[in-house]
Amino acid sequence: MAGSLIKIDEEIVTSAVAGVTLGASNWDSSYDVYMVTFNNLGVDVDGNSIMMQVLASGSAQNTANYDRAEKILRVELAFLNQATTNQTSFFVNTDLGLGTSTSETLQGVFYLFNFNNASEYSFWTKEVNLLGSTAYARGGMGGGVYTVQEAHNGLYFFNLQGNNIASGSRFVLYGLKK
Amino acid sequence: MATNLEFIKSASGTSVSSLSVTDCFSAKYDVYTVVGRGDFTNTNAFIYLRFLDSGGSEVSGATDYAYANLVMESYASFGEDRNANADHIQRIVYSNNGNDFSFEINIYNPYDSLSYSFCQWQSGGRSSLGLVGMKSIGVLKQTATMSGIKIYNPTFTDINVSVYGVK
Repeated sequence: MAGSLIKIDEEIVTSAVAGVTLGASNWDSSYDVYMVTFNNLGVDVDGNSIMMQVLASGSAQNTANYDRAEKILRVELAFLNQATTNQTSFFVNTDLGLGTSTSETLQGVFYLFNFNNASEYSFWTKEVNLLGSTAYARGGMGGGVYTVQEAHNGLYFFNLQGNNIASGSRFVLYGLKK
Repeated sequence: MATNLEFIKSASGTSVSSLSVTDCFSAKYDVYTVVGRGDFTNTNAFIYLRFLDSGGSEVSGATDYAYANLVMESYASFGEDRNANADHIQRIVYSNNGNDFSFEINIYNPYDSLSYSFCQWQSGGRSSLGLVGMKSIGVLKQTATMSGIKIYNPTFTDINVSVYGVK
């Protein structure tokens, strides 16, 4: 049987960079559903956060149309509900920024929906597990939407505080075959 | 066309108190998906998880693990179960004698000796009162190479676990 999870693009940060683009010219529009995995996703300054924007024709979209809702699982404190609307980007981590000590990184999976459909909003689910700057683990379980009816061809990740995404961060984009 | 979800191995048991999946992690993958199903004979019990080190031994230090579980019961308000310092990861499943359960676990970086091993999972079981779903995260706080996992606690009537690499 032919494979059904097809790798489209992979980006491994080999030296700290301000942003990472996944897809764009490597985007393959023949899928309805995409999966993105992250591992060792880190920052170069303690407490910084990683954000995401969708790409339209290869350009990151920064209009105030990102909504987010998630349950944040915390190993040392009560869980949180977090929801935001009309933001200019989407939180990849949770209430806790990433760190620069051992394994203070993020791992996770996003599923992307409707990205090739210019008549629908683009949606995604979010399941992440991270060790934050306080060395406590966090889970983020939820999703987001970009409320603009247009086609999208990838994702752009960047450091919210204007610093960098750390070396060793790995992003992979897959298509789920119809 | 090649697939990027690759079957690695499976393990199964009947009338066992634990099931180890050995030598399933390698440098070939950073991300793994583990799926399992079965049932057990205990009343309202948890399934626990520990990692196996490069020699195949259980990692079981008193503060080696942290976990957080969102416990979604069909018959009660949702609950929270968390621990920042434990000797295992718990509530992979919460179920009851004779009721089937199933789970999916994503595992990250287990073979990377420079990184902690992370996991997140979702599962379904049935306690004596009704459905119990889990949405959870866990971490093994050791920078060491892991070779496999052990799933244990109840006495399994039967259990089957498969491990896939996400290439």
